[in-house]
Amino acid sequence: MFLITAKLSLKDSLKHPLFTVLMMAGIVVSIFSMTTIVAIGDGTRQVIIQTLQGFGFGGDVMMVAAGGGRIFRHRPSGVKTLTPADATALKQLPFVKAVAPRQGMRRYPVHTVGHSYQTRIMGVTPDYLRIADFQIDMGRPLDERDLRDHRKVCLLGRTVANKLYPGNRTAALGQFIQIGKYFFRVKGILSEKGQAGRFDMDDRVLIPLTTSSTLFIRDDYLHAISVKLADAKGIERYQREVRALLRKRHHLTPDQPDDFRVVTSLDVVKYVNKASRELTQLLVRIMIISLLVSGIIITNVMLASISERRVEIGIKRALGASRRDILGQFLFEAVWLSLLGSLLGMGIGILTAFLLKSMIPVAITPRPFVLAVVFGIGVGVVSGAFPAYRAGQIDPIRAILGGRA
Amino acid sequence: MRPVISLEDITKHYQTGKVITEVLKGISFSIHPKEFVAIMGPSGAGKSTLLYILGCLARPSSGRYELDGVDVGTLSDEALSRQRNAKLGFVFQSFHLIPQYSALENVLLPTFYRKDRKRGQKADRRRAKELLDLVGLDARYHYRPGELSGGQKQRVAIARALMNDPEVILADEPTGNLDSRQSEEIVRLLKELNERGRTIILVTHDPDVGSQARRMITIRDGLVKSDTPCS
Repeated sequence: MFLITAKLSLKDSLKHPLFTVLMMAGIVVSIFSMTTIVAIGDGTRQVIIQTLQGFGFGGDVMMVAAGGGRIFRHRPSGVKTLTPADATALKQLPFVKAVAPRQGMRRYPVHTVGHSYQTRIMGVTPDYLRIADFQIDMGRPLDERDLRDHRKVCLLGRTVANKLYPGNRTAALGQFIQIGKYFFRVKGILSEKGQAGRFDMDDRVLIPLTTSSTLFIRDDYLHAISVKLADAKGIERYQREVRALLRKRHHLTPDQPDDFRVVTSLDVVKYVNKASRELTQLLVRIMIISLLVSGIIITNVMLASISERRVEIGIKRALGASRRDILGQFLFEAVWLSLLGSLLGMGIGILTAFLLKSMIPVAITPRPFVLAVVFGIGVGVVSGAFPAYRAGQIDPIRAILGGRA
Repeated sequence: MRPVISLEDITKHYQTGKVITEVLKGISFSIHPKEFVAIMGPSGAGKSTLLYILGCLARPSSGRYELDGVDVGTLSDEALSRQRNAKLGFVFQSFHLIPQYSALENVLLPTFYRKDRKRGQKADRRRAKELLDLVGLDARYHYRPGELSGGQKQRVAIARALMNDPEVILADEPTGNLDSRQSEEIVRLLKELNERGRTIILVTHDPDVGSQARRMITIRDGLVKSDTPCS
C-alpha cells in the first residue's frame, strides 16, 4: 500500500512540474545556505585548532602571558607586570622542567643590501627552541654566552631567510642584517615549521632576550613565559599553583584581578569549544528561520496545488480513495519533495563550498548531509501535514460538481 | 434473486444556517443484478443526490441502504471507500478524466486504491488495454484526455468504471456534454454492457436517453413518482 502511495505521489508531482518546483525552491535555498555556513564554520574551527597546535600547545606546556583579562586577545603593549624574576621563580617550582621567557615585537623592518622585509622579532632564551619545538636547519642555536653578553646575533625563520636572500637562503649564514638601526649577525637558520592555520610559524627572527631588552624594548619586562612541565597529568593543579605564586609575587590583594594569564591547552580546548558552541547556536537560529520560511512556502504552495487539484482529488475519492489515501499521498509528496530539495540544496552548497575553498577556510563534513536529510523529512512532515489533512477532507461531491461548471 | 441495491425510506436533508432543505423525503426501491435502470426527473428533483447516496459518496440522513448485502449506512470512510472501489463504477457528465494521465493510466486509476491484490500490475495493464479495446479506443492507450473527443473521453471513463469489475455502473448524465451522434454511441455502449450482464443505473433528464433503459424510476420533489418497465 505504501509503495502505491509513493508511486502515485511521485507520478502526480511530476505531472504538476510548476508546483513541484515552487515547493522545492524554498528548501533548496535554505539548505544551500545552511550547508555553506556549516562548511565555513567547520573550516574556521579546523583552522583555529590547527593554529593552536602549530603554536606548540602540547598538553605539557602552559603559557603565562602579561596582562589580565580574556585568554585570547591582542597583545597589550607596555604591560610591565611580568619580569625575568618571575621566570626564575617559576623555574624553581618542582613540577617545572624548563621556562622560556620572551619579549616580542610586532612586525619590524629588517634589511640586507638590496632587500627589506617586515617580520616578527622575538627576544628569547636558548630554552625557547626546545619548548616551542624549533629545530636548527643550519648554523648554531643561541647559547648562554649570547644571552650573557647581549650579543647582536639572530636566528632567521625559513620565510625571512627566503625573503632576504631569495634563491639562496644559505648565503644568509654569517652575514649581517640590519634590524632597526642595529646590525645582527645571522647565527643560524631555523627548520621549516610551516603554517599554523593561517599563521606562518617561519616568519620570525629570534634574538637573545637580553639584546631585545637593551636595544628594543629598553626594559626587561616580559611579554610571555612558556612553561614546560615535568608531566602533563596534574596540569590543572599546576595552573593553580603557578597562579598563586604569581599573585603572591605581584602583591595582589584578594580583591584585585590577575595581572597575567595562565593558559593551558585545556583552556584552549575550552575556548574552541565555546566558540564552536556559539557557532552552533547561530546555526540553530538560522536553521529555525529557514525551517519556518521553507515550511511556510511548502504549506502555501501545497494548499494552492491542492485547490488546483480539487477535481482530481474528488475523482480519486469517487474511484475508491479513502481520506487516508489522499492524506497519505499529499504527505508523502511534501516529504519527498522536501527531501529532494534538501539534498539538492546540499549539493549546491557543497559545490559552493568547494569554489570558496581558495578564498576562505571551508571543511566538508558529514554534518550537512545528516542535517539535510533530517531537515528535509522534518519540514516535509510538518508543513505537509495541514494541507494533506485538508486534501483528505475535501468533499468529493462538491469537488466533482465544482468541476462541472 | 437478492437485489444488488435496496433502499428503504431514504431521506436526505441539507442544513445551511438555520434553513433545512429536504432533498429526498423517503425513497424506497430495489435493483436486481443485470437491470438497466434510468432515474429521471426534472432538475432539482433530487436525482443527483440520490445517485451520490447510491454511489456511497454521501450518506442518507435516515433510512437503510444495502449494497450487495452490506448495510453501508454504518461504515467508516475507509470501508465506504472500499465499497466504492470494489462494487461501484462511476461515469460522470463531464467525464472527469485526470488530464495529466494517459487514457491507459486513467483506466488503471481504480486499481491503485484496490485493497486486495488478486491481480498483479501486469494483469491490470492487460485488462485495462482490453477494456479500452472493448470501448473502441484501441491504439489510443497513450493519448491524453485533451487529445480525445468528448465521446472518446466518455468511452475511457466507461472503461475506467469497468476496471475493478464492479457490481453496478452509476452514470450521471453521461451524454450531457455530448452531441447527439456521440450520445447515441455512448447509450449503445451502455446497452451492450447491460446485455453482457452489467447492472447499470443511469441518471438523466433526457427522455430519449432514459427510454433506452429497461426500467425507469421517476423522481419528483424528493419522492418516487413512478417506477415502470420500459418497452
